[in-house]
Amino acid sequence: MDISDFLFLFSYFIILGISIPLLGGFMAQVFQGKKNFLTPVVEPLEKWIYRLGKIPYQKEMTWREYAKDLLIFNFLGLVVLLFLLLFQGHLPLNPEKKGNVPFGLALNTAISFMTNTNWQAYSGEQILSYASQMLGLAVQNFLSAATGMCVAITLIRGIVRRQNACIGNFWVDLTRSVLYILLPLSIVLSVFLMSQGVIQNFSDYAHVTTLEGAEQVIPMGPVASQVAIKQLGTNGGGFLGANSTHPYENPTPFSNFLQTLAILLIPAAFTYTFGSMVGYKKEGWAILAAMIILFTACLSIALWAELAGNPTLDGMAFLEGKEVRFGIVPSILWGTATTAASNGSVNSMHSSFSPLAGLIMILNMMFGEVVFGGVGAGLYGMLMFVILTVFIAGLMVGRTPEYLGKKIEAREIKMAILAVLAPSAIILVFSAIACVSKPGLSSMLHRGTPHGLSEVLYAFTSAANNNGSAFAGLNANTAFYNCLLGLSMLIGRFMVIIPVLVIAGSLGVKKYIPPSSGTFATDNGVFVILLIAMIVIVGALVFFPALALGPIVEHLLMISAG
Amino acid sequence: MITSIKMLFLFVILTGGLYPLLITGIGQLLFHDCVNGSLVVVNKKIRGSALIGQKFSSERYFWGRPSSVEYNAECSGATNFSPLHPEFKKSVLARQESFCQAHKIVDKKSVPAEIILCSGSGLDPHITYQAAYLQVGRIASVRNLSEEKKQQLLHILHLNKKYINLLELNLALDNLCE
Repeated sequence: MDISDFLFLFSYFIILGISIPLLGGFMAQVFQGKKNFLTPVVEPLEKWIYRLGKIPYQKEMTWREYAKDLLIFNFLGLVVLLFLLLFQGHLPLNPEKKGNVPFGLALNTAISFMTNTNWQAYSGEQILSYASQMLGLAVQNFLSAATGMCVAITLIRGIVRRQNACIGNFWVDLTRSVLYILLPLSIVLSVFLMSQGVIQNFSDYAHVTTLEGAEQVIPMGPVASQVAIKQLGTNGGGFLGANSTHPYENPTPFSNFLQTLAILLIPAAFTYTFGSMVGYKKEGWAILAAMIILFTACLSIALWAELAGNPTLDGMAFLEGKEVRFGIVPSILWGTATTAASNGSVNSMHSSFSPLAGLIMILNMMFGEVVFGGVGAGLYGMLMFVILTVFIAGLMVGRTPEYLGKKIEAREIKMAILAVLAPSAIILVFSAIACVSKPGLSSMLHRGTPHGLSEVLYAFTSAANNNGSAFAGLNANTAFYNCLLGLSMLIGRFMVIIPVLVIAGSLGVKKYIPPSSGTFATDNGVFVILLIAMIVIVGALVFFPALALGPIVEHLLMISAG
Repeated sequence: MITSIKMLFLFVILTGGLYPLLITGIGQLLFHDCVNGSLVVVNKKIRGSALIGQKFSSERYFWGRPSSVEYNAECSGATNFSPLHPEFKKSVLARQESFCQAHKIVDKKSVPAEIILCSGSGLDPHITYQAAYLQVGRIASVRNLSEEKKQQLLHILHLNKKYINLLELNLALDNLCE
């Protein structure tokens, strides 16, 4: 690491830190329906949407009504995207005459973007039309991110409200997420990205003659608008196959800085929104502290492993799969951020990382995407761990667990366990199936080595936690993987969202119990340590055997070969 | 259901239609060259994009990084080799060997890692200053550069501290030799 790397990391955390109370406070205002600096501009548009959609925006919903609308809306989005992909060859905005997307790949892609995963078994510039990208994928980038924000907000309302079965209005939360938060941030980020050289046009691909006389075909398209939301909405699906390693998606160190910042911006701010809405800012800071400690620990290990160099090649720097304009430190920061937050975009290829850095990427996802996590999804995922931590702490001292004045009882615990264990079960069961079946094995680039296992483990971890990044040596565009990974993404998304909505509803109707001397405090260092221990133990206990056979063995092999 | 259909339709128009059009409008107005691909035009012909790497294999040019897609811009991508893949090690050592031979380098460790390792996009437009510097001798001898021109070339390199855009460098080289 040289001085510029230190400056890079330092300014990253400073700017992120400053943005947390600013953006977090703003988001709290938005979701509480308070006036804010965007109200004069956005409110007319918001009212207009409610009028056109005939939304009874003052009517609140119970968790069942909320879940019903959320599910119908999401699955309708999936169907529309699926048909858009299946028939893109007959639709306009297709200058390169791309054909229809085959059914298996189209279904996998539609599920992937609807669930905020953005797993990509295809290369955008090779198979997708501009219409599919902007009217299909980009729309789901916004809506899946907004859905995550809605669910997080309902859970906060459930905690705040007293003896009230209603948790908000889905349409209002959805509209506000898009209009006040995602859209304005995306517009600002797009403009910055374009100034750096990210393309934004509807032209035909450019045919050029290189200096050596060869022909090169250069893809075009409305990239900047899509890259902005893919980073801000923790979506991660690139317009182009190489994602943000591609110079047209991420041309300069400055564009790289902004995009790395955008990955954690909203998820980090959500902790402040939480503290602000429940009325105890320290509660939000405690959760943020747990996230930051886990994040910096993972980042440090990954940096240490990656900067050590490859002992099998005389300590040669790990630059395979990395771009010259970024280098090692910014690539590892991005990798850690993109896997800790369920973003999944990449600015370097994770499969070529040193084994321990690769391990950290997988581990970040195995924590359940709660270290910052997805927009909204990270917070509600973390709150599931908070509930479990409070429960365990309650067991230890022999009291009924409480959190922020609400009793945590059997129903909440059952749902929290379900939300935490559903993705984990999927990862292990499906990885096992892939490792003993012919179609599972034949897709591996590193078949018969620990890295082959890592490829499969990475894929299912990424899908079940709605991340979307990959050890991309795995050829995932097969019937087997399109199908199993699609299923993982659906289960990993909705087997968490529904339990969270149930908890929101069940907490909302409970009475408020004022804190007493026996109440277990959830805003101090002890709690932060317990929470971290809970996350690490669940991550480590469930997955340690699998990780030992994959990246850990690979690391040991590398050392002994060197 | 009806509400869902209406709302989805509205959001498709807003986030899928109006938003990208607005951004395109702003971009075409303010950053015309950038948003159209930073294309490099020489004598009214497009010779490439400043951001997209090209394949250089001629002795007369500075060489770029190896690319898993051979700089085919239509299918960006990487090798995804793990550090332990046997083919990875073999090809890296072979590239190191041939780079050393082409430039009469004795100490193999002085070859910068990036010039023998594939990039993430397969289209990396840059190489490090060090990798360019090592190639000056070969180019000067192949092109029969005078000492004065060689100094000019080194001066161009010195303008870039950490890394250099390869297409721009090779265009400058062609200019220098005209």
